[in-house]
Amino acid sequence: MYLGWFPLIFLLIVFAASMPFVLMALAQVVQIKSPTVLKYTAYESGMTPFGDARIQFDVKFYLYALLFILFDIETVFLFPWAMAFGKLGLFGLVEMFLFIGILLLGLVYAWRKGALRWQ
Amino acid sequence: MIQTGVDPMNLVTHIGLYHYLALAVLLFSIGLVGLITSRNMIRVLMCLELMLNAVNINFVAFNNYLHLDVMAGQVFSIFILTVSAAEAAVGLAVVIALYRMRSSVDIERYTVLKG
Amino acid sequence: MTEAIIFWAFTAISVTAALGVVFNRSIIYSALLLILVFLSIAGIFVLNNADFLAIAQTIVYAVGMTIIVLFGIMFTGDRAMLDEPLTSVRKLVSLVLATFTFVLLIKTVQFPFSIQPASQSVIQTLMQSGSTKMLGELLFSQFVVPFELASVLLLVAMVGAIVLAKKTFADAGEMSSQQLSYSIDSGEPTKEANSALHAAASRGEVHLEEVTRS
Repeated sequence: MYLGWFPLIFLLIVFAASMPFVLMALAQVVQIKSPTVLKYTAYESGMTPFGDARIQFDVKFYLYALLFILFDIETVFLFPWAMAFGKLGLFGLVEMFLFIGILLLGLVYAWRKGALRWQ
Repeated sequence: MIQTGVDPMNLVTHIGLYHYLALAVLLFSIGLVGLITSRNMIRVLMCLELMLNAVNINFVAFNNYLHLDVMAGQVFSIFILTVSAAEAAVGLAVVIALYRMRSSVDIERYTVLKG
Repeated sequence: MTEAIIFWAFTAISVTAALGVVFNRSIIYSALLLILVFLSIAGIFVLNNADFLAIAQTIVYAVGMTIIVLFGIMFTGDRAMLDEPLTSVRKLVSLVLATFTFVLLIKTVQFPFSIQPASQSVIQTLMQSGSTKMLGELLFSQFVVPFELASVLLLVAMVGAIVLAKKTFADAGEMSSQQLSYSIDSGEPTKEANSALHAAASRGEVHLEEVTRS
Protein backbone atom coordinates (compact mmCIF):
# COMPACT_ATOMS: atom_id res chain seq x y z
CA MET A 1 0.00 0.00 0.00
CA TYR A 2 1.38 3.35 -1.02
CA LEU A 3 -0.55 6.47 -0.09
CA GLY A 4 1.60 9.35 -1.28
CA TRP A 5 -0.14 12.69 -1.04
CA PHE A 6 -3.57 11.21 -0.68
CA PRO A 7 -3.89 11.64 3.11
CA LEU A 8 -3.47 15.37 2.61
CA ILE A 9 -6.01 15.40 -0.21
CA PHE A 10 -8.39 13.47 2.02
CA LEU A 11 -7.90 15.98 4.82
CA LEU A 12 -8.61 18.78 2.35
CA ILE A 13 -11.84 17.11 1.27
CA VAL A 14 -12.93 16.56 4.87
CA PHE A 15 -12.05 20.14 5.76
CA ALA A 16 -13.95 21.54 2.79
CA ALA A 17 -16.97 19.33 3.43
CA SER A 18 -17.15 20.25 7.11
CA MET A 19 -16.78 23.97 6.47
CA PRO A 20 -20.47 24.73 5.81
CA PHE A 21 -21.51 22.89 8.96
CA VAL A 22 -18.88 24.63 11.05
CA LEU A 23 -19.88 28.04 9.75
CA MET A 24 -23.57 27.38 10.30
CA ALA A 25 -22.94 26.14 13.80
CA LEU A 26 -20.82 29.20 14.46
CA ALA A 27 -23.59 31.44 13.17
CA GLN A 28 -26.04 29.68 15.49
CA VAL A 29 -23.80 30.43 18.43
CA VAL A 30 -22.92 34.06 17.84
CA GLN A 31 -26.03 35.39 16.12
CA ILE A 32 -28.56 37.78 17.63
CA LYS A 33 -32.06 36.58 16.88
CA SER A 34 -34.73 39.11 15.87
CA PRO A 35 -36.76 37.32 13.23
CA THR A 36 -39.20 39.02 10.91
CA VAL A 37 -41.17 37.49 8.06
CA LEU A 38 -39.01 39.18 5.46
CA LYS A 39 -35.86 37.76 6.99
CA TYR A 40 -37.20 34.24 6.66
CA THR A 41 -37.87 34.42 2.94
CA ALA A 42 -35.42 32.69 0.66
CA TYR A 43 -32.61 34.89 -0.59
CA GLU A 44 -32.71 35.31 -4.34
CA SER A 45 -30.09 37.98 -5.03
CA GLY A 46 -32.28 40.72 -3.69
CA MET A 47 -35.39 39.98 -5.74
CA THR A 48 -38.67 38.91 -4.25
CA PRO A 49 -38.70 35.13 -4.53
CA PHE A 50 -41.52 33.47 -6.39
CA GLY A 51 -42.52 29.93 -7.20
CA ASP A 52 -40.89 26.73 -6.11
CA ALA A 53 -37.19 25.92 -6.12
CA ARG A 54 -37.84 22.60 -7.84
CA ILE A 55 -38.73 23.88 -11.27
CA GLN A 56 -38.37 21.82 -14.39
CA PHE A 57 -35.01 22.47 -16.02
CA ASP A 58 -34.69 22.91 -19.74
CA VAL A 59 -33.18 19.99 -21.60
CA LYS A 60 -30.37 22.14 -22.98
CA PHE A 61 -28.65 21.99 -19.58
CA TYR A 62 -28.59 18.24 -19.98
CA LEU A 63 -27.03 18.53 -23.44
CA TYR A 64 -24.19 20.65 -22.09
CA ALA A 65 -23.64 18.23 -19.23
CA LEU A 66 -23.56 15.40 -21.75
CA LEU A 67 -20.86 17.07 -23.83
CA PHE A 68 -19.00 17.85 -20.62
CA ILE A 69 -18.83 14.25 -19.46
CA LEU A 70 -17.73 12.94 -22.85
CA PHE A 71 -14.85 15.41 -23.01
CA ASP A 72 -14.16 14.61 -19.37
CA ILE A 73 -13.46 11.06 -20.47
CA GLU A 74 -11.16 12.41 -23.15
CA THR A 75 -9.17 14.19 -20.44
CA VAL A 76 -8.88 10.96 -18.50
CA PHE A 77 -7.25 9.39 -21.53
CA LEU A 78 -5.04 12.41 -22.16
CA PHE A 79 -3.24 12.29 -18.82
CA PRO A 80 -1.64 8.84 -19.12
CA TRP A 81 -0.85 9.66 -22.73
CA ALA A 82 1.00 12.81 -21.72
CA MET A 83 2.93 10.93 -19.02
CA ALA A 84 3.94 8.14 -21.37
CA PHE A 85 4.56 10.34 -24.38
CA GLY A 86 8.36 10.12 -24.15
CA LYS A 87 8.25 6.39 -24.76
CA LEU A 88 5.47 6.37 -27.33
CA GLY A 89 6.90 8.84 -29.85
CA LEU A 90 5.26 9.48 -33.19
CA PHE A 91 2.94 6.50 -32.93
CA GLY A 92 1.46 7.87 -29.73
CA LEU A 93 0.95 11.25 -31.35
CA VAL A 94 -0.91 9.70 -34.29
CA GLU A 95 -3.19 7.56 -32.17
CA MET A 96 -4.10 10.40 -29.85
CA PHE A 97 -4.87 12.70 -32.76
CA LEU A 98 -7.05 10.00 -34.25
CA PHE A 99 -8.88 9.72 -30.91
CA ILE A 100 -9.37 13.47 -30.60
CA GLY A 101 -10.40 13.70 -34.24
CA ILE A 102 -13.13 11.11 -33.82
CA LEU A 103 -14.42 12.91 -30.74
CA LEU A 104 -14.30 16.23 -32.56
CA LEU A 105 -16.61 14.72 -35.18
CA GLY A 106 -19.16 14.39 -32.39
CA LEU A 107 -18.65 17.99 -31.40
CA VAL A 108 -19.09 19.11 -35.00
CA TYR A 109 -22.29 17.08 -35.19
CA ALA A 110 -23.59 18.68 -32.01
CA TRP A 111 -22.72 22.08 -33.37
CA ARG A 112 -24.37 21.50 -36.71
CA LYS A 113 -27.51 20.12 -35.09
CA GLY A 114 -27.81 23.26 -32.99
CA ALA A 115 -27.34 21.46 -29.67
CA LEU A 116 -24.96 24.19 -28.58
CA ARG A 117 -27.27 27.04 -29.48
CA TRP A 118 -28.57 28.81 -26.38
CA GLN A 119 -31.83 30.23 -27.52
CA MET B 1 -6.63 -13.77 2.35
CA ILE B 2 -9.01 -15.82 4.39
CA GLN B 3 -8.01 -19.20 5.71
CA THR B 4 -10.04 -21.53 7.77
CA GLY B 5 -9.15 -21.45 11.43
CA VAL B 6 -7.74 -17.94 11.71
CA ASP B 7 -8.94 -15.92 14.62
CA PRO B 8 -11.59 -13.33 13.74
CA MET B 9 -9.54 -10.41 15.03
CA ASN B 10 -6.96 -11.15 12.38
CA LEU B 11 -9.69 -10.87 9.79
CA VAL B 12 -10.43 -7.36 10.97
CA THR B 13 -6.92 -6.03 11.25
CA HIS B 14 -5.30 -7.67 8.24
CA ILE B 15 -6.83 -6.50 5.02
CA GLY B 16 -6.34 -8.76 2.04
CA LEU B 17 -7.75 -9.40 -1.38
CA TYR B 18 -10.75 -11.13 0.13
CA HIS B 19 -11.91 -7.99 1.91
CA TYR B 20 -11.96 -5.95 -1.26
CA LEU B 21 -13.79 -8.68 -3.14
CA ALA B 22 -16.34 -8.95 -0.33
CA LEU B 23 -16.90 -5.20 -0.41
CA ALA B 24 -17.39 -5.38 -4.16
CA VAL B 25 -19.90 -8.20 -3.77
CA LEU B 26 -21.79 -6.25 -1.12
CA LEU B 27 -22.03 -3.14 -3.26
CA PHE B 28 -23.00 -5.21 -6.26
CA SER B 29 -25.82 -6.87 -4.33
CA ILE B 30 -27.08 -3.53 -3.02
CA GLY B 31 -27.08 -2.24 -6.57
CA LEU B 32 -28.98 -5.33 -7.68
CA VAL B 33 -31.67 -4.78 -5.05
CA GLY B 34 -32.02 -1.20 -6.21
CA LEU B 35 -32.15 -2.26 -9.82
CA ILE B 36 -35.07 -4.57 -9.19
CA THR B 37 -37.05 -2.59 -6.64
CA SER B 38 -36.76 0.99 -7.81
CA ARG B 39 -39.53 2.40 -9.94
CA ASN B 40 -37.84 5.60 -10.98
CA MET B 41 -35.86 5.05 -14.16
CA ILE B 42 -33.14 7.44 -13.08
CA ARG B 43 -32.65 5.49 -9.88
CA VAL B 44 -32.32 2.35 -11.97
CA LEU B 45 -29.51 4.02 -13.88
CA MET B 46 -27.86 5.08 -10.63
CA CYS B 47 -27.97 1.52 -9.33
CA LEU B 48 -26.41 0.37 -12.58
CA GLU B 49 -23.53 2.77 -12.00
CA LEU B 50 -23.18 1.36 -8.50
CA MET B 51 -22.87 -2.16 -9.87
CA LEU B 52 -20.29 -1.08 -12.44
CA ASN B 53 -18.31 0.53 -9.67
CA ALA B 54 -18.36 -2.69 -7.69
CA VAL B 55 -16.89 -4.42 -10.73
CA ASN B 56 -14.22 -1.74 -10.89
CA ILE B 57 -13.23 -2.48 -7.30
CA ASN B 58 -12.83 -6.10 -8.30
CA PHE B 59 -10.55 -5.27 -11.20
CA VAL B 60 -8.39 -2.91 -9.20
CA ALA B 61 -8.07 -5.26 -6.24
CA PHE B 62 -7.12 -8.20 -8.44
CA ASN B 63 -4.63 -6.02 -10.24
CA ASN B 64 -3.06 -4.96 -6.99
CA TYR B 65 -2.84 -8.38 -5.43
CA LEU B 66 -2.00 -10.52 -8.45
CA HIS B 67 -0.11 -8.49 -11.04
CA LEU B 68 0.88 -5.02 -10.02
CA ASP B 69 3.68 -4.94 -12.59
CA VAL B 70 1.21 -5.29 -15.49
CA MET B 71 -1.57 -2.82 -14.93
CA ALA B 72 -4.09 -4.50 -17.19
CA GLY B 73 -6.74 -4.46 -14.47
CA GLN B 74 -6.57 -0.71 -14.13
CA VAL B 75 -6.71 -0.29 -17.90
CA PHE B 76 -9.87 -2.38 -17.85
CA SER B 77 -11.28 -0.14 -15.17
CA ILE B 78 -10.66 2.89 -17.35
CA PHE B 79 -12.55 1.23 -20.18
CA ILE B 80 -15.42 0.40 -17.84
CA LEU B 81 -15.41 4.06 -16.83
CA THR B 82 -15.72 5.04 -20.48
CA VAL B 83 -18.46 2.57 -21.26
CA SER B 84 -20.48 3.50 -18.20
CA ALA B 85 -20.24 7.20 -19.01
CA ALA B 86 -21.53 6.50 -22.51
CA GLU B 87 -24.23 4.27 -21.07
CA ALA B 88 -25.36 6.89 -18.57
CA ALA B 89 -25.46 9.58 -21.25
CA VAL B 90 -27.56 7.52 -23.64
CA GLY B 91 -29.67 6.06 -20.84
CA LEU B 92 -30.60 9.45 -19.48
CA ALA B 93 -31.34 10.69 -22.98
CA VAL B 94 -33.74 7.75 -23.36
CA VAL B 95 -35.34 8.65 -20.02
CA ILE B 96 -35.74 12.25 -21.17
CA ALA B 97 -37.28 11.16 -24.47
CA LEU B 98 -39.69 8.84 -22.65
CA TYR B 99 -40.57 11.55 -20.16
CA ARG B 100 -41.47 13.86 -23.03
CA MET B 101 -43.77 11.22 -24.42
CA ARG B 102 -45.62 10.21 -21.26
CA SER B 103 -44.65 12.76 -18.57
CA SER B 104 -43.58 10.01 -16.25
CA VAL B 105 -40.40 8.24 -15.23
CA ASP B 106 -42.25 5.48 -13.42
CA ILE B 107 -41.05 2.22 -14.89
CA GLU B 108 -44.34 0.51 -14.04
CA ARG B 109 -46.20 2.70 -16.50
CA TYR B 110 -44.25 1.57 -19.53
CA THR B 111 -45.92 -1.74 -20.15
CA VAL B 112 -46.51 -1.55 -23.89
CA LEU B 113 -44.36 -4.59 -24.55
CA LYS B 114 -46.06 -6.66 -21.87
CA GLY B 115 -48.46 -8.21 -24.39
CA MET C 1 -3.10 -1.46 10.68
CA THR C 2 -3.47 1.87 8.92
CA GLU C 3 -4.80 0.03 5.91
CA ALA C 4 -7.37 -1.72 8.09
CA ILE C 5 -8.62 1.54 9.58
CA ILE C 6 -8.86 3.25 6.20
CA PHE C 7 -10.49 0.22 4.62
CA TRP C 8 -13.18 -0.16 7.28
CA ALA C 9 -13.91 3.55 7.29
CA PHE C 10 -14.41 3.70 3.53
CA THR C 11 -16.36 0.44 3.58
CA ALA C 12 -18.72 1.80 6.20
CA ILE C 13 -19.22 5.04 4.29
CA SER C 14 -19.72 3.42 0.91
CA VAL C 15 -22.10 0.71 2.07
CA THR C 16 -24.21 3.11 4.12
CA ALA C 17 -24.38 5.59 1.28
CA ALA C 18 -25.18 2.84 -1.22
CA LEU C 19 -28.09 1.72 0.96
CA GLY C 20 -29.18 5.35 1.01
CA VAL C 21 -29.03 5.50 -2.78
CA VAL C 22 -31.32 2.52 -3.04
CA PHE C 23 -33.77 3.18 -0.23
CA ASN C 24 -33.99 6.95 0.13
CA ARG C 25 -37.41 8.18 -0.93
CA SER C 26 -36.18 11.39 -2.51
CA ILE C 27 -34.23 10.83 -5.68
CA ILE C 28 -32.25 14.04 -5.24
CA TYR C 29 -30.83 12.74 -1.97
CA SER C 30 -30.07 9.45 -3.70
CA ALA C 31 -28.06 11.25 -6.35
CA LEU C 32 -26.15 13.22 -3.74
CA LEU C 33 -25.42 10.08 -1.73
CA LEU C 34 -24.14 8.52 -4.94
CA ILE C 35 -21.35 11.12 -4.92
CA LEU C 36 -20.36 9.87 -1.48
CA VAL C 37 -20.29 6.28 -2.72
CA PHE C 38 -18.09 7.23 -5.65
CA LEU C 39 -15.69 9.21 -3.47
CA SER C 40 -15.29 6.42 -0.95
CA ILE C 41 -14.69 3.95 -3.76
CA ALA C 42 -11.97 6.31 -4.97
CA GLY C 43 -10.47 5.92 -1.49
CA ILE C 44 -10.58 2.16 -1.90
CA PHE C 45 -8.74 2.58 -5.20
CA VAL C 46 -6.00 4.54 -3.46
CA LEU C 47 -5.55 1.66 -1.03
CA ASN C 48 -4.99 -0.59 -4.04
CA ASN C 49 -2.17 1.47 -5.54
CA ALA C 50 -4.44 2.90 -8.21
CA ASP C 51 -3.87 6.61 -7.69
CA PHE C 52 -4.65 7.70 -11.23
CA LEU C 53 -7.81 5.66 -11.25
CA ALA C 54 -8.91 7.27 -7.99
CA ILE C 55 -8.63 10.70 -9.57
CA ALA C 56 -10.33 9.50 -12.74
CA GLN C 57 -13.12 8.05 -10.62
CA THR C 58 -13.54 11.40 -8.90
CA ILE C 59 -13.67 13.52 -12.03
CA VAL C 60 -15.73 11.16 -14.16
CA TYR C 61 -18.12 9.57 -11.68
CA ALA C 62 -18.29 11.89 -8.70
CA VAL C 63 -18.42 15.02 -10.83
CA GLY C 64 -19.46 14.23 -14.40
CA MET C 65 -21.86 11.37 -13.91
CA THR C 66 -23.71 12.92 -11.00
CA ILE C 67 -24.05 16.16 -12.93
CA ILE C 68 -25.85 14.47 -15.80
CA VAL C 69 -27.93 12.41 -13.38
CA LEU C 70 -28.88 15.56 -11.49
CA PHE C 71 -29.83 17.36 -14.69
CA GLY C 72 -31.89 14.34 -15.66
CA ILE C 73 -33.65 14.55 -12.30
CA MET C 74 -34.16 18.30 -12.68
CA PHE C 75 -35.74 17.72 -16.06
CA THR C 76 -38.07 14.97 -14.96
CA GLY C 77 -38.83 16.35 -11.51
CA ASP C 78 -38.65 14.40 -8.26
CA ARG C 79 -42.08 15.18 -6.88
CA ALA C 80 -43.82 12.80 -9.21
CA MET C 81 -42.07 9.76 -7.86
CA LEU C 82 -42.95 9.95 -4.19
CA ASP C 83 -45.85 7.64 -4.83
CA GLU C 84 -46.95 4.29 -3.55
CA PRO C 85 -44.15 1.80 -2.85
CA LEU C 86 -43.76 -1.57 -4.44
CA THR C 87 -45.81 -4.60 -3.69
CA SER C 88 -44.35 -6.74 -0.94
CA VAL C 89 -44.13 -9.71 -3.30
CA ARG C 90 -41.68 -7.91 -5.54
CA LYS C 91 -39.70 -6.67 -2.56
CA LEU C 92 -39.45 -10.22 -1.29
CA VAL C 93 -38.44 -11.59 -4.68
CA SER C 94 -35.75 -8.97 -5.12
CA LEU C 95 -34.43 -9.54 -1.61
CA VAL C 96 -34.25 -13.29 -2.15
CA LEU C 97 -32.56 -12.83 -5.50
CA ALA C 98 -30.03 -10.38 -4.14
CA THR C 99 -29.25 -12.57 -1.14
CA PHE C 100 -28.78 -15.52 -3.43
CA THR C 101 -26.40 -13.55 -5.64
CA PHE C 102 -24.55 -12.28 -2.59
CA VAL C 103 -24.05 -15.73 -1.10
CA LEU C 104 -23.06 -17.16 -4.46
CA LEU C 105 -20.49 -14.48 -5.13
CA ILE C 106 -19.10 -14.55 -1.59
CA LYS C 107 -18.65 -18.30 -1.92
CA THR C 108 -16.90 -17.72 -5.22
CA VAL C 109 -14.40 -15.20 -3.94
CA GLN C 110 -13.42 -17.49 -1.08
CA PHE C 111 -11.57 -19.55 -3.65
CA PRO C 112 -7.92 -19.62 -2.53
CA PHE C 113 -6.01 -17.55 -5.05
CA SER C 114 -2.28 -17.85 -5.13
CA ILE C 115 -1.09 -14.40 -4.25
CA GLN C 116 2.33 -13.09 -5.04
CA PRO C 117 2.95 -9.80 -3.31
CA ALA C 118 4.02 -7.01 -5.64
CA SER C 119 7.75 -6.85 -6.21
CA GLN C 120 9.62 -4.10 -4.44
CA SER C 121 10.78 -2.55 -7.72
CA VAL C 122 7.19 -1.94 -8.81
CA ILE C 123 6.40 -0.27 -5.51
CA GLN C 124 9.50 1.87 -5.95
CA THR C 125 8.38 2.99 -9.41
CA LEU C 126 4.95 3.78 -8.06
CA MET C 127 6.36 5.86 -5.25
CA GLN C 128 8.44 7.87 -7.69
CA SER C 129 6.04 8.56 -10.52
CA GLY C 130 2.64 7.16 -9.60
CA SER C 131 0.75 4.69 -11.70
CA THR C 132 -0.13 7.16 -14.45
CA LYS C 133 2.98 6.60 -16.54
CA MET C 134 2.84 2.82 -16.35
CA LEU C 135 -0.82 2.96 -17.21
CA GLY C 136 -0.15 5.18 -20.22
CA GLU C 137 2.57 2.94 -21.56
CA LEU C 138 0.29 -0.07 -21.36
CA LEU C 139 -2.80 1.70 -22.63
CA PHE C 140 -1.16 3.14 -25.72
CA SER C 141 0.86 0.13 -26.75
CA GLN C 142 -1.01 -3.04 -25.93
CA PHE C 143 -4.52 -1.61 -25.75
CA VAL C 144 -4.45 0.71 -28.77
CA VAL C 145 -7.38 -0.86 -30.57
CA PRO C 146 -9.76 -0.79 -27.59
CA PHE C 147 -8.67 2.78 -26.99
CA GLU C 148 -9.57 3.86 -30.51
CA LEU C 149 -12.79 1.88 -30.32
CA ALA C 150 -13.59 3.74 -27.12
CA SER C 151 -13.50 6.97 -29.09
CA VAL C 152 -15.94 5.50 -31.61
CA LEU C 153 -18.17 4.43 -28.72
CA LEU C 154 -18.08 7.92 -27.26
CA LEU C 155 -18.90 9.40 -30.66
CA VAL C 156 -21.88 7.09 -31.08
CA ALA C 157 -23.05 7.85 -27.55
CA MET C 158 -22.77 11.57 -28.17
CA VAL C 159 -24.71 11.45 -31.44
CA GLY C 160 -27.33 9.08 -30.03
CA ALA C 161 -27.89 11.07 -26.88
CA ILE C 162 -28.19 14.34 -28.82
CA VAL C 163 -30.70 12.81 -31.23
CA LEU C 164 -32.75 11.40 -28.36
CA ALA C 165 -32.66 14.38 -26.08
CA LYS C 166 -32.84 17.28 -28.46
CA LYS C 167 -35.91 16.61 -30.57
CA THR C 168 -38.01 19.57 -29.51
CA PHE C 169 -35.97 22.62 -30.17
CA ALA C 170 -34.38 22.30 -33.59
CA ASP C 171 -36.88 20.01 -35.27
CA ALA C 172 -39.88 21.93 -34.00
CA GLY C 173 -40.49 23.27 -37.51
CA GLU C 174 -40.92 19.91 -39.16
CA MET C 175 -42.81 18.45 -36.28
CA SER C 176 -45.31 21.26 -36.05
CA SER C 177 -46.33 21.02 -39.72
CA GLN C 178 -46.87 17.31 -39.29
CA GLN C 179 -48.89 17.73 -36.13
CA LEU C 180 -50.78 20.62 -37.64
CA SER C 181 -52.33 18.47 -40.35
CA TYR C 182 -53.54 16.01 -37.74
CA SER C 183 -55.28 18.60 -35.65
CA ILE C 184 -56.83 20.29 -38.68
CA ASP C 185 -58.27 16.96 -39.76
CA SER C 186 -59.82 16.47 -36.38
CA GLY C 187 -61.09 20.01 -36.65
CA GLU C 188 -59.76 21.32 -33.40
CA PRO C 189 -57.32 24.20 -32.87
CA THR C 190 -56.78 26.95 -35.41
CA LYS C 191 -53.47 27.55 -37.13
CA GLU C 192 -52.59 30.46 -34.89
CA ALA C 193 -53.42 28.57 -31.75
CA ASN C 194 -51.39 25.69 -33.03
CA SER C 195 -48.30 27.72 -33.77
CA ALA C 196 -48.48 29.30 -30.33
CA LEU C 197 -48.85 25.83 -28.91
CA HIS C 198 -45.80 24.59 -30.76
CA ALA C 199 -43.77 27.55 -29.67
CA ALA C 200 -44.68 26.63 -26.11
CA ALA C 201 -43.90 22.99 -26.79
CA SER C 202 -40.49 23.83 -28.15
CA ARG C 203 -39.78 25.65 -24.92
CA GLY C 204 -40.71 22.48 -23.12
CA GLU C 205 -43.75 23.92 -21.38
CA VAL C 206 -46.39 21.82 -23.03
CA HIS C 207 -46.29 18.26 -24.21
CA LEU C 208 -47.52 18.06 -27.77
CA GLU C 209 -48.82 14.55 -27.80
CA GLU C 210 -51.08 15.12 -24.85
CA VAL C 211 -52.50 18.35 -26.17
CA THR C 212 -53.33 16.92 -29.55
CA ARG C 213 -54.78 13.81 -27.99
CA SER C 214 -57.15 15.64 -25.71
